[in-house]
Amino acid sequence: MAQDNLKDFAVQWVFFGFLFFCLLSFAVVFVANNNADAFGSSSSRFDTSSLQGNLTGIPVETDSLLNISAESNPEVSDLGSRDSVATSYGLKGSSTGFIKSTQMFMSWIFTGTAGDIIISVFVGVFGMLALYFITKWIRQGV
Amino acid sequence: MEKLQTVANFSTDTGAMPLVNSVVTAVPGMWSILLFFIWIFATAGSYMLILKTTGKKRFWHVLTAMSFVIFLSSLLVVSLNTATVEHLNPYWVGFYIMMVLLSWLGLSNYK
Repeated sequence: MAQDNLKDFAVQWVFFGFLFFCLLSFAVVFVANNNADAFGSSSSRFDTSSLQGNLTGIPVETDSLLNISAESNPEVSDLGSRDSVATSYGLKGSSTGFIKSTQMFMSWIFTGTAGDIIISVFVGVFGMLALYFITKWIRQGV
Repeated sequence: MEKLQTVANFSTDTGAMPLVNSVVTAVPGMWSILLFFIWIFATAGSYMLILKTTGKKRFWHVLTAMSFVIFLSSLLVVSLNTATVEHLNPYWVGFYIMMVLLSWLGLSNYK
């Protein structure tokens, strides 16, 4: 069947991808339901306790320095004014929180059993592709 | 005369897991070796059995089927892992997923 023409060749890789997806998702869901260490929690490299504070709270020292929580006129927003400083501080806090939460999410996935399975599967895919092309190019020349 | 070991010698926990955990602690690679050799020898045995009984060479069929069976078995063994005792490294699950995919490719190309 396969490789009679381009269409058959493509169909084979669609089947391959579907099988790949089914096996990997089944393994991850199975492990997530049957293993307490499926996703990183205690072994996480990033401290989750600081996230809430960074997103919502302003340390007292920072407020004392920038005077962010003071009463201010929102229509006045000159560069260097209290409002612009408060806006910059808020934006900085938001982006820091976004980056931290992204790091924590990736850490949550990749430090557990499920992450090990995902990593090994993709290492296998790229390793096999590398072996295939290395042997092909050694035989045929680049 | 040596004293016979009882379950209480292994752990105060009940059930079979203290026994299995003690075996895995003594031989850390037990499950990986066991599953790998079951995979190899069951593939070879099934291939020879089908060859003897039907005369057909069904290598890729057998390899695909056995890879899938061992993939499921490795998932079960990985589920036994705890924070302190590792029965099977999760990388082996990925390895058997890759073996299923590769043998399926071989089956669709060379059968």
